[in-house]
Amino acid sequence: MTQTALLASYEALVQNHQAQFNGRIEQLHRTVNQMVSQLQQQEQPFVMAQAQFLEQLRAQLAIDTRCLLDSIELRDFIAEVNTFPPRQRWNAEPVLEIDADPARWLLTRRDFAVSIRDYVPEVDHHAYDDERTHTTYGYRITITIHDQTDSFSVIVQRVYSPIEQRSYTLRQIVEYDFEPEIGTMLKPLALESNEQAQLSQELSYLLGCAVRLLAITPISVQFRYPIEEAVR
Amino acid sequence: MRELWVSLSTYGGVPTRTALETLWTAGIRHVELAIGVKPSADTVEVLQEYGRRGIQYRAHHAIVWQERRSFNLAEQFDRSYFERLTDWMAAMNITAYSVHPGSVSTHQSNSINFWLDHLEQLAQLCHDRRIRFGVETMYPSLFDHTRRELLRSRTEIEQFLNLMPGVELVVDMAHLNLWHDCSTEEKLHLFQLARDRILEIHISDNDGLRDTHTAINEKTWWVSHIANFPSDVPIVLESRMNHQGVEQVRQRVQQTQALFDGVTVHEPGTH
Repeated sequence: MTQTALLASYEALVQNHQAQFNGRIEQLHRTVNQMVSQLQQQEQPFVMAQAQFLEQLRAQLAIDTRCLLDSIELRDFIAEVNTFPPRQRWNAEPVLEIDADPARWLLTRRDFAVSIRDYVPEVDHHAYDDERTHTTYGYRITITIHDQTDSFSVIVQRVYSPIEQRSYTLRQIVEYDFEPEIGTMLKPLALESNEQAQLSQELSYLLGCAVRLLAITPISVQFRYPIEEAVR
Repeated sequence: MRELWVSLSTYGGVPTRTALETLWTAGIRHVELAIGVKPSADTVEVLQEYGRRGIQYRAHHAIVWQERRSFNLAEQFDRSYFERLTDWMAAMNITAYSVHPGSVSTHQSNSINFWLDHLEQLAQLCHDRRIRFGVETMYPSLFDHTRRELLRSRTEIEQFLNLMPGVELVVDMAHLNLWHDCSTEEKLHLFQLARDRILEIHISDNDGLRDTHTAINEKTWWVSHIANFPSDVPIVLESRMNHQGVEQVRQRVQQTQALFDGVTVHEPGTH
C-alpha cells in the first residue's frame, strides 16, 4: 500500500469513528445536563427551607453562641475532635483535656458575651508557601468575646496538585487556629493563666462547632494548573 | 547601616510588575527573587526594567522568571533547568542564589547521596558563573510525618558543613523558632558553627507551630539577639505584606530596618 493510500485509509477510519460515536456522546452530554437541571429544580424547595432556618440560626449565633452549650451538636463535635490524636508536645507540657460534658465547663460559670458572625468561604488560587504554589480553601469569621471583636481566616485544605492535597483535621483547626486567636482576645480579661487556657480551649470548641453549623455548603475542591494563567 | 533585602515573596499573589512597582515606590532597592508572584508574559522584561532603574537582585529557591517550577533536590535534579536558570541569573548580575535542601521519604534511607550529588552539581553551576550558593536551614514539620526535611537540626547542619565545604548556609531565624529541642543559646550557636559561611539571614515571625511568615515585633524571639548576628551578612525580610498599600509596606520595612540600625554587633565568640 502506498503512503497516500495508507493515509486515505487511516483518514477514512477516523471519519467513521467520529461518525459512529460523536453524536451519541453529545446526546449523552445533553441527557445528563437535563437530568442534573431537573434534579436541581426538585432540590430547590429543600435548599430554600434550609436557607431559611440557617438564616435564623445565624441570627441566633450572632447574638449569643452560648445557646449551643447544651446542644447535642456540641457534644458530637467534641467527640469527633477527640477522635484525632492531640498535638505532639515537645516539652512534656501536660495536654489540657476538654470535658466531654459542656455543662461542667468553666465557661458556664462566666457570663461574658460570646458570638460569631459573618462566615465567608475563602478560596485563594494564588497561595504559596516557601516552596510551592497551591490553592487554599477555608473561611473567614468574626468573633466577639466580652468586649473584644476580631476577624480571622482559617485554612482547612491546601491543594498542591490533582493528586496531592493536605487537609487539616478538626483538632488542628481548633488548636492551631481558634485557640491562639481566642487566647489573645481573652488577655484584656486578665485571667489566671490556667483559667485562660481552659476558657480558650472551651471557647475554641464552642466556636468551632458553630462554624461547622454555618458551613452547610460543601467545599468543591479544584486544582488549577498555574501555567494556565500565564499569558504567553 | 546594614542593608535590608526584601524577598519578593513578601508581596505575592500579583504579577511581578505589581509587586516590584509597590516595592520600588516604597523605596526598596534590594530585592530577593523568590516564590509568590504570578507568572506573566512580561516577567523577565519587568525584572530587567527594574534592574536598569536600580534594583539589585539576589535569588532564592523556586523563583518566577521565564519559567516557574518547584523542585526537591533530595529527589530530583534537572540539570538542564538549572543550567538555564544559572545562565539567566548570571546575565542579570545576580551574585547569590540559595535553595531549600529538600525532603526525603521517612521510608527511604539512601537518598542522602543523591542529595549531596545534586547539591554539588548545582554548586558547580553557580561557581562557574560567579554566583555564591547556599542552602537554607529547615525545621521538623508537625503535619507531614511521611517526609523528613533535611537540615532540620544542628547535627545535620554540622554534618552538612563538613561534607560540603564549597557551599554556604542560609540561616532562617523563623525556621529556628520551630526547633523545639534546643535552647536559644544553642540556636544562636549556629552563627559560630557556620562562621564565615553564612550567605544570608532570613527573618520573619511565626506562631511556633507553622512557618506562617508573620510580621516581626518586639516579642519575636530573635529580636533581642540581633547583636549576635554576624555583621557583614545580608538580612532578607520574608514577612508577608500581601495586599498592603505602599505606605504600609514602607513603614514595615523601615520598622524592620530600625531594629538593625544602631545595634552594636558582638564579634563571633564574644557572646
